[in-house]
Amino acid sequence: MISSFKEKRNLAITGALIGVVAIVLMVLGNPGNMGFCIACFIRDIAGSLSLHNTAIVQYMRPEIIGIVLGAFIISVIKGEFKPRAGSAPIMRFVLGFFMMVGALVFLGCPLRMVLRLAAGDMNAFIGLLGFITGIAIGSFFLNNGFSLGRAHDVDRIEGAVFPFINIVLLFILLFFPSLLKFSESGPGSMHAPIVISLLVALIVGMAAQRTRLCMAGGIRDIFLIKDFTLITGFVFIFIAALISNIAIGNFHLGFADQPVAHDKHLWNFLSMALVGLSAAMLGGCPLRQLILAGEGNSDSAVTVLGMLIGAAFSHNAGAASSAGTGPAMIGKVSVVVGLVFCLALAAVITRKRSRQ
Amino acid sequence: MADIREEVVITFFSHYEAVKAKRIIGSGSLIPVPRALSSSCGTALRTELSVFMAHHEFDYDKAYLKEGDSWSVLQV
Repeated sequence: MISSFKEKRNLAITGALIGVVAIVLMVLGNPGNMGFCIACFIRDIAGSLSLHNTAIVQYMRPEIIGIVLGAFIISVIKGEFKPRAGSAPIMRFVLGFFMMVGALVFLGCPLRMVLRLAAGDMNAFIGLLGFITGIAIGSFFLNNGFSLGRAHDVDRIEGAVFPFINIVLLFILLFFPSLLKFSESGPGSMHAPIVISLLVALIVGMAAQRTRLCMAGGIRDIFLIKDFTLITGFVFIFIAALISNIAIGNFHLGFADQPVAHDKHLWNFLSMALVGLSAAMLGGCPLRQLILAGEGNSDSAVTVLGMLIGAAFSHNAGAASSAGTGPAMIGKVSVVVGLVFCLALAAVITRKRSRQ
Repeated sequence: MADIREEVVITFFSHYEAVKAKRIIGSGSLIPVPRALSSSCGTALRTELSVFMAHHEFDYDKAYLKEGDSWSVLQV
Protein backbone atom coordinates (compact mmCIF):
# COMPACT_ATOMS: atom_id res chain seq x y z
CA MET A 1 0.00 0.00 0.00
CA ILE A 2 1.14 3.56 -0.73
CA SER A 3 2.69 4.83 2.51
CA SER A 4 -0.55 3.88 4.24
CA PHE A 5 1.14 2.46 7.32
CA LYS A 6 3.41 5.46 7.71
CA GLU A 7 0.47 7.86 7.33
CA LYS A 8 -1.61 5.94 9.86
CA ARG A 9 1.32 5.80 12.28
CA ASN A 10 1.86 9.57 12.04
CA LEU A 11 -1.86 10.22 12.46
CA ALA A 12 -1.92 7.94 15.50
CA ILE A 13 1.00 9.83 17.07
CA THR A 14 -0.58 13.21 16.30
CA GLY A 15 -3.96 12.08 17.60
CA ALA A 16 -2.43 10.75 20.81
CA LEU A 17 -0.48 13.99 21.23
CA ILE A 18 -3.61 16.10 20.85
CA GLY A 19 -5.59 13.84 23.19
CA VAL A 20 -2.96 14.17 25.93
CA VAL A 21 -2.19 17.88 25.58
CA ALA A 22 -5.90 18.70 25.53
CA ILE A 23 -6.21 17.19 28.99
CA VAL A 24 -3.01 18.94 30.11
CA LEU A 25 -4.40 22.30 28.98
CA MET A 26 -7.62 21.56 30.87
CA VAL A 27 -5.65 20.72 34.02
CA LEU A 28 -3.68 23.95 33.58
CA GLY A 29 -6.81 26.05 33.44
CA ASN A 30 -8.88 25.60 30.28
CA PRO A 31 -12.62 24.90 30.86
CA GLY A 32 -13.96 21.40 31.50
CA ASN A 33 -13.46 18.98 28.59
CA MET A 34 -12.31 22.01 26.60
CA GLY A 35 -8.56 21.60 26.36
CA PHE A 36 -9.12 22.29 22.71
CA CYS A 37 -12.32 23.47 21.06
CA ILE A 38 -11.91 25.32 17.80
CA ALA A 39 -15.49 26.60 17.76
CA CYS A 40 -15.52 27.68 21.43
CA PHE A 41 -12.14 29.37 21.11
CA ILE A 42 -13.09 31.29 17.95
CA ARG A 43 -16.26 32.28 19.83
CA ASP A 44 -14.10 33.54 22.70
CA ILE A 45 -11.97 35.53 20.25
CA ALA A 46 -15.14 37.05 18.76
CA GLY A 47 -16.06 38.15 22.27
CA SER A 48 -12.58 39.46 22.99
CA LEU A 49 -12.82 41.59 19.83
CA SER A 50 -16.23 42.92 21.03
CA LEU A 51 -18.08 41.23 18.17
CA HIS A 52 -20.48 39.94 20.83
CA ASN A 53 -21.16 41.03 24.38
CA THR A 54 -21.60 37.77 26.25
CA ALA A 55 -19.33 38.58 29.16
CA ILE A 56 -18.52 35.00 30.15
CA VAL A 57 -17.00 33.94 26.78
CA GLN A 58 -14.43 36.59 25.91
CA TYR A 59 -10.73 35.73 25.60
CA MET A 60 -8.06 35.97 22.91
CA ARG A 61 -7.32 32.25 22.80
CA PRO A 62 -3.64 31.62 21.99
CA GLU A 63 -4.55 28.09 20.89
CA ILE A 64 -6.21 29.35 17.69
CA ILE A 65 -3.32 31.69 16.92
CA GLY A 66 -0.79 28.94 17.61
CA ILE A 67 -2.51 26.38 15.39
CA VAL A 68 -2.62 28.79 12.45
CA LEU A 69 0.98 29.91 12.93
CA GLY A 70 2.18 26.34 13.48
CA ALA A 71 0.65 25.28 10.16
CA PHE A 72 2.05 28.42 8.52
CA ILE A 73 5.61 27.87 9.79
CA ILE A 74 5.81 24.18 8.93
CA SER A 75 4.25 24.66 5.51
CA VAL A 76 6.84 27.34 4.69
CA ILE A 77 9.68 25.13 5.94
CA LYS A 78 8.46 22.13 3.97
CA GLY A 79 7.70 24.07 0.79
CA GLU A 80 3.96 23.48 1.11
CA PHE A 81 2.94 27.09 1.59
CA LYS A 82 0.95 27.38 -1.61
CA PRO A 83 -1.51 30.28 -1.51
CA ARG A 84 -4.75 29.48 -3.29
CA ALA A 85 -8.14 31.17 -3.53
CA GLY A 86 -11.27 31.47 -5.60
CA SER A 87 -13.28 28.39 -4.66
CA ALA A 88 -16.72 29.81 -3.85
CA PRO A 89 -15.57 32.19 -1.08
CA ILE A 90 -18.99 33.55 -0.15
CA MET A 91 -20.59 30.12 -0.09
CA ARG A 92 -17.73 29.01 2.17
CA PHE A 93 -18.31 32.04 4.39
CA VAL A 94 -21.97 31.08 4.83
CA LEU A 95 -21.14 27.40 5.36
CA GLY A 96 -18.57 28.43 7.97
CA PHE A 97 -21.22 30.61 9.58
CA PHE A 98 -23.66 27.72 9.88
CA MET A 99 -20.94 25.29 10.94
CA MET A 100 -20.34 27.59 13.90
CA VAL A 101 -24.06 27.98 14.60
CA GLY A 102 -24.36 24.19 14.82
CA ALA A 103 -21.26 23.86 16.99
CA LEU A 104 -22.49 26.46 19.46
CA VAL A 105 -25.89 24.81 19.79
CA PHE A 106 -24.12 21.53 20.53
CA LEU A 107 -21.48 23.38 22.61
CA GLY A 108 -18.36 22.20 20.86
CA CYS A 109 -16.64 21.53 17.58
CA PRO A 110 -15.96 17.93 16.47
CA LEU A 111 -12.66 17.97 18.39
CA ARG A 112 -14.38 18.92 21.63
CA MET A 113 -17.07 16.36 20.85
CA VAL A 114 -14.39 13.66 21.00
CA LEU A 115 -12.86 15.16 24.16
CA ARG A 116 -16.32 15.24 25.79
CA LEU A 117 -16.94 11.64 24.77
CA ALA A 118 -13.56 10.66 26.22
CA ALA A 119 -14.66 12.16 29.53
CA GLY A 120 -17.82 10.04 29.59
CA ASP A 121 -20.21 12.74 28.35
CA MET A 122 -22.81 10.65 26.53
CA ASN A 123 -24.45 13.76 25.09
CA ALA A 124 -21.41 13.85 22.86
CA PHE A 125 -22.27 10.34 21.66
CA ILE A 126 -25.61 11.68 20.44
CA GLY A 127 -23.66 14.50 18.81
CA LEU A 128 -21.34 11.97 17.19
CA LEU A 129 -24.32 10.15 15.67
CA GLY A 130 -25.53 13.45 14.25
CA PHE A 131 -22.04 14.31 13.00
CA ILE A 132 -21.74 10.96 11.20
CA THR A 133 -25.21 11.42 9.71
CA GLY A 134 -24.33 14.89 8.43
CA ILE A 135 -21.11 13.62 6.84
CA ALA A 136 -22.99 10.67 5.30
CA ILE A 137 -25.43 13.10 3.67
CA GLY A 138 -22.55 15.30 2.51
CA SER A 139 -20.76 12.25 1.11
CA PHE A 140 -23.87 11.34 -0.88
CA PHE A 141 -23.75 14.74 -2.55
CA LEU A 142 -19.97 14.52 -3.10
CA ASN A 143 -20.40 11.13 -4.77
CA ASN A 144 -23.03 12.57 -7.08
CA GLY A 145 -21.23 15.70 -8.24
CA PHE A 146 -21.11 18.26 -5.42
CA SER A 147 -18.06 20.50 -5.44
CA LEU A 148 -17.42 24.09 -4.48
CA GLY A 149 -15.14 24.40 -7.50
CA ARG A 150 -11.40 24.56 -7.84
CA ALA A 151 -9.14 27.15 -6.28
CA HIS A 152 -6.35 28.86 -8.16
CA ASP A 153 -2.83 29.87 -7.27
CA VAL A 154 -2.55 33.40 -5.94
CA ASP A 155 0.26 35.66 -4.82
CA ARG A 156 2.19 34.55 -1.73
CA ILE A 157 1.34 37.86 -0.06
CA GLU A 158 -2.36 37.00 -0.29
CA GLY A 159 -1.74 33.70 1.46
CA ALA A 160 0.37 35.33 4.17
CA VAL A 161 -2.30 37.84 5.20
CA PHE A 162 -4.29 35.49 7.45
CA PRO A 163 -1.23 34.20 9.35
CA PHE A 164 -0.11 37.84 9.66
CA ILE A 165 -3.48 38.78 11.19
CA ASN A 166 -2.86 36.08 13.79
CA ILE A 167 0.59 37.53 14.54
CA VAL A 168 -1.05 40.93 15.06
CA LEU A 169 -3.65 39.40 17.40
CA LEU A 170 -0.86 37.73 19.39
CA PHE A 171 1.03 41.03 19.56
CA ILE A 172 -2.07 42.78 20.87
CA LEU A 173 -2.68 40.02 23.43
CA LEU A 174 0.88 40.24 24.73
CA PHE A 175 1.49 43.98 24.61
CA PHE A 176 -1.83 45.82 24.33
CA PRO A 177 -4.38 43.62 26.14
CA SER A 178 -6.41 46.69 27.11
CA LEU A 179 -7.67 46.73 23.50
CA LEU A 180 -9.37 43.39 24.13
CA LYS A 181 -12.16 42.15 26.39
CA PHE A 182 -11.50 39.39 28.91
CA SER A 183 -14.13 37.44 30.86
CA GLU A 184 -13.93 37.77 34.60
CA SER A 185 -16.07 34.67 35.18
CA GLY A 186 -17.33 31.69 33.20
CA PRO A 187 -15.53 29.65 30.50
CA GLY A 188 -13.82 32.70 29.02
CA SER A 189 -12.04 33.39 32.29
CA MET A 190 -10.66 29.87 32.45
CA HIS A 191 -7.43 29.38 30.57
CA ALA A 192 -4.01 27.81 30.71
CA PRO A 193 -0.97 30.13 30.81
CA ILE A 194 -0.60 31.99 27.53
CA VAL A 195 2.91 30.77 26.73
CA ILE A 196 2.03 27.12 27.32
CA SER A 197 -1.17 27.36 25.27
CA LEU A 198 0.73 29.00 22.45
CA LEU A 199 3.60 26.51 22.41
CA VAL A 200 1.28 23.52 22.59
CA ALA A 201 -0.87 24.93 19.77
CA LEU A 202 2.17 25.61 17.59
CA ILE A 203 3.15 21.95 17.90
CA VAL A 204 -0.42 20.77 17.27
CA GLY A 205 -0.68 23.07 14.23
CA MET A 206 2.55 21.68 12.81
CA ALA A 207 1.59 18.06 13.47
CA ALA A 208 -1.92 18.51 12.05
CA GLN A 209 -0.50 20.11 8.90
CA ARG A 210 1.97 17.29 8.38
CA THR A 211 -0.63 14.57 8.89
CA ARG A 212 -3.71 16.32 7.42
CA LEU A 213 -5.62 15.34 10.56
CA CYS A 214 -9.30 16.16 10.16
CA MET A 215 -12.21 15.21 12.37
CA ALA A 216 -14.61 15.08 9.41
CA GLY A 217 -12.27 13.78 6.72
CA GLY A 218 -11.78 10.40 8.36
CA ILE A 219 -15.49 9.65 8.47
CA ARG A 220 -15.97 11.08 4.96
CA ASP A 221 -13.27 8.82 3.52
CA ILE A 222 -14.96 5.77 5.03
CA PHE A 223 -18.21 6.67 3.28
CA LEU A 224 -16.60 7.76 0.00
CA ILE A 225 -13.80 5.26 -0.58
CA LYS A 226 -13.93 2.87 2.38
CA ASP A 227 -10.52 4.06 3.55
CA PHE A 228 -9.61 4.13 7.23
CA THR A 229 -6.40 6.19 7.12
CA LEU A 230 -7.66 9.60 8.25
CA ILE A 231 -9.97 8.19 10.91
CA THR A 232 -6.85 6.98 12.75
CA GLY A 233 -6.21 10.47 14.15
CA PHE A 234 -9.80 10.75 15.40
CA VAL A 235 -9.59 7.37 17.13
CA PHE A 236 -6.27 8.07 18.83
CA ILE A 237 -7.41 11.46 20.13
CA PHE A 238 -10.26 9.58 21.81
CA ILE A 239 -8.06 6.80 23.20
CA ALA A 240 -5.38 9.17 24.54
CA ALA A 241 -7.91 11.57 26.06
CA LEU A 242 -9.87 8.67 27.57
CA ILE A 243 -6.80 7.22 29.27
CA SER A 244 -5.72 10.69 30.44
CA ASN A 245 -9.18 11.48 31.82
CA ILE A 246 -9.35 8.20 33.72
CA ALA A 247 -5.84 8.84 35.08
CA ILE A 248 -6.79 12.23 36.51
CA GLY A 249 -10.27 11.21 37.67
CA ASN A 250 -12.12 13.24 35.05
CA PHE A 251 -14.18 10.38 33.58
CA HIS A 252 -17.87 10.66 34.52
CA LEU A 253 -20.11 8.45 32.39
CA GLY A 254 -23.62 9.78 31.82
CA PHE A 255 -25.81 12.48 30.35
CA ALA A 256 -26.41 14.70 33.37
CA ASP A 257 -24.19 17.35 34.94
CA GLN A 258 -21.50 17.30 32.26
CA PRO A 259 -19.35 20.45 32.02
CA VAL A 260 -20.41 23.01 29.39
CA ALA A 261 -22.96 20.64 27.87
CA HIS A 262 -26.71 19.99 27.75
CA ASP A 263 -28.83 16.87 27.39
CA LYS A 264 -31.31 17.96 24.72
CA HIS A 265 -30.77 14.91 22.53
CA LEU A 266 -32.63 16.06 19.43
CA TRP A 267 -30.67 19.30 19.30
CA ASN A 268 -27.35 17.65 20.08
CA PHE A 269 -28.04 15.36 17.12
CA LEU A 270 -29.30 17.97 14.67
CA SER A 271 -26.70 20.60 15.52
CA MET A 272 -23.84 18.16 14.95
CA ALA A 273 -25.55 16.91 11.78
CA LEU A 274 -25.32 20.52 10.60
CA VAL A 275 -21.64 20.63 11.55
CA GLY A 276 -20.98 17.31 9.77
CA LEU A 277 -22.85 18.30 6.62
CA SER A 278 -21.21 21.71 6.36
CA ALA A 279 -17.76 20.22 7.10
CA ALA A 280 -18.23 17.63 4.34
CA MET A 281 -19.25 20.37 1.92
CA LEU A 282 -16.30 22.54 2.96
CA GLY A 283 -13.81 19.68 2.77
CA GLY A 284 -12.80 19.79 6.40
CA CYS A 285 -13.70 20.34 10.05
CA PRO A 286 -13.02 23.62 11.90
CA LEU A 287 -9.51 22.45 12.88
CA ARG A 288 -8.71 21.58 9.28
CA GLN A 289 -9.95 25.00 8.12
CA LEU A 290 -7.43 26.65 10.46
CA ILE A 291 -4.63 24.44 9.13
CA LEU A 292 -5.51 25.14 5.50
CA ALA A 293 -5.74 28.87 6.24
CA GLY A 294 -2.24 28.65 7.75
CA GLU A 295 -1.03 26.96 4.54
CA GLY A 296 -2.15 30.01 2.60
CA ASN A 297 -5.60 28.87 1.52
CA SER A 298 -7.66 32.06 1.43
CA ASP A 299 -10.91 30.14 0.95
CA SER A 300 -10.37 28.47 4.31
CA ALA A 301 -9.47 31.84 5.83
CA VAL A 302 -12.82 33.15 4.59
CA THR A 303 -14.47 30.07 6.13
CA VAL A 304 -12.84 30.91 9.47
CA LEU A 305 -14.13 34.48 9.17
CA GLY A 306 -17.58 33.02 8.53
CA MET A 307 -17.17 31.02 11.72
CA LEU A 308 -16.13 34.16 13.59
CA ILE A 309 -19.21 36.05 12.45
CA GLY A 310 -21.35 32.95 13.08
CA ALA A 311 -20.11 32.99 16.67
CA ALA A 312 -20.92 36.67 17.02
CA PHE A 313 -24.41 36.08 15.63
CA SER A 314 -24.98 33.06 17.86
CA HIS A 315 -24.29 35.04 21.01
CA ASN A 316 -25.83 38.35 19.98
CA ALA A 317 -29.04 36.60 18.90
CA GLY A 318 -29.06 34.13 21.77
CA ALA A 319 -28.78 31.16 19.43
CA ALA A 320 -25.89 29.56 21.30
CA SER A 321 -26.99 26.99 23.86
CA SER A 322 -26.71 27.59 27.56
CA ALA A 323 -24.83 24.96 29.51
CA GLY A 324 -27.34 22.73 31.25
CA THR A 325 -30.52 24.17 29.72
CA GLY A 326 -29.79 23.74 26.00
CA PRO A 327 -30.79 25.89 23.05
CA ALA A 328 -33.43 28.61 23.05
CA MET A 329 -36.00 28.75 20.24
CA ILE A 330 -33.74 30.99 18.13
CA GLY A 331 -30.98 28.39 18.41
CA LYS A 332 -33.30 25.62 17.25
CA VAL A 333 -34.58 27.74 14.37
CA SER A 334 -31.01 28.63 13.37
CA VAL A 335 -30.03 24.95 13.20
CA VAL A 336 -33.05 24.08 11.06
CA VAL A 337 -32.41 27.05 8.77
CA GLY A 338 -28.76 25.98 8.50
CA LEU A 339 -29.70 22.42 7.60
CA VAL A 340 -32.24 23.58 5.00
CA PHE A 341 -29.70 26.00 3.51
CA CYS A 342 -26.94 23.38 3.31
CA LEU A 343 -29.22 20.73 1.83
CA ALA A 344 -30.66 23.13 -0.74
CA LEU A 345 -27.20 24.39 -1.72
CA ALA A 346 -25.84 20.87 -1.97
CA ALA A 347 -28.81 19.71 -4.06
CA VAL A 348 -28.64 22.63 -6.48
CA ILE A 349 -24.87 22.41 -7.02
CA THR A 350 -24.96 18.61 -7.28
CA ARG A 351 -27.67 18.77 -9.93
CA LYS A 352 -25.74 21.39 -11.90
CA ARG A 353 -22.36 19.64 -11.72
CA SER A 354 -23.73 16.19 -12.52
CA ARG A 355 -25.07 17.56 -15.81
CA GLN A 356 -21.70 18.98 -16.87
CA MET B 1 -0.23 -8.06 -10.55
CA ALA B 2 1.10 -4.97 -12.26
CA ASP B 3 4.75 -4.10 -12.17
CA ILE B 4 5.14 -1.59 -9.32
CA ARG B 5 7.03 0.69 -11.72
CA GLU B 6 3.88 1.03 -13.78
CA GLU B 7 1.74 2.33 -10.96
CA VAL B 8 0.13 5.72 -11.55
CA VAL B 9 -1.75 7.91 -9.07
CA ILE B 10 -3.95 10.63 -10.52
CA THR B 11 -5.12 13.62 -8.47
CA PHE B 12 -8.22 15.69 -9.17
CA PHE B 13 -9.83 19.00 -8.31
CA SER B 14 -12.89 17.27 -6.81
CA HIS B 15 -13.97 13.85 -5.58
CA TYR B 16 -16.55 13.60 -8.34
CA GLU B 17 -13.90 14.02 -11.04
CA ALA B 18 -12.14 11.01 -9.53
CA VAL B 19 -15.39 9.02 -9.57
CA LYS B 20 -15.99 9.92 -13.21
CA ALA B 21 -12.42 9.05 -14.21
CA LYS B 22 -12.74 5.63 -12.58
CA ARG B 23 -15.92 5.03 -14.58
CA ILE B 24 -14.17 6.04 -17.80
CA ILE B 25 -11.13 3.82 -17.41
CA GLY B 26 -13.18 0.98 -15.95
CA SER B 27 -10.55 -0.12 -13.46
CA GLY B 28 -8.26 1.15 -10.71
CA SER B 29 -9.11 2.11 -7.16
CA LEU B 30 -10.04 5.33 -5.40
CA ILE B 31 -7.63 6.19 -2.58
CA PRO B 32 -6.85 9.20 -0.39
CA VAL B 33 -4.27 11.44 -2.03
CA PRO B 34 -0.95 10.06 -0.71
CA ARG B 35 0.66 12.49 1.73
CA ALA B 36 3.88 12.34 -0.25
CA LEU B 37 2.09 13.95 -3.18
CA SER B 38 0.08 16.71 -1.56
CA SER B 39 -0.98 18.34 1.70
CA SER B 40 -4.59 18.31 0.49
CA CYS B 41 -6.81 15.44 1.56
CA GLY B 42 -8.87 14.69 -1.52
CA THR B 43 -9.51 11.54 -3.52
CA ALA B 44 -7.02 10.12 -6.01
CA LEU B 45 -7.25 7.29 -8.53
CA ARG B 46 -4.61 4.57 -8.58
CA THR B 47 -4.24 2.59 -11.76
CA GLU B 48 -1.69 1.12 -14.14
CA LEU B 49 0.33 3.26 -16.50
CA SER B 50 -0.91 1.43 -19.59
CA VAL B 51 -4.54 1.90 -18.56
CA PHE B 52 -4.02 5.59 -17.87
CA MET B 53 -2.24 6.18 -21.17
CA ALA B 54 -5.11 4.56 -23.04
CA HIS B 55 -7.85 6.53 -21.25
CA HIS B 56 -6.42 9.84 -20.05
CA GLU B 57 -8.92 12.06 -21.86
CA PHE B 58 -10.63 13.20 -18.65
CA ASP B 59 -10.23 16.16 -16.31
CA TYR B 60 -7.54 15.74 -13.71
CA ASP B 61 -4.97 17.78 -11.81
CA LYS B 62 -1.76 15.76 -12.03
CA ALA B 63 -0.69 12.19 -12.75
CA TYR B 64 2.23 10.74 -10.80
CA LEU B 65 4.30 7.75 -11.80
CA LYS B 66 5.69 5.72 -8.94
CA GLU B 67 9.38 4.99 -9.34
CA GLY B 68 10.61 2.90 -6.45
CA ASP B 69 9.91 4.96 -3.33
CA SER B 70 9.58 8.26 -5.15
CA TRP B 71 7.12 9.87 -7.50
CA SER B 72 7.51 11.84 -10.68
CA VAL B 73 4.93 13.97 -12.45
CA LEU B 74 3.83 12.23 -15.60
CA GLN B 75 3.88 14.50 -18.66
CA VAL B 76 1.23 13.38 -21.15
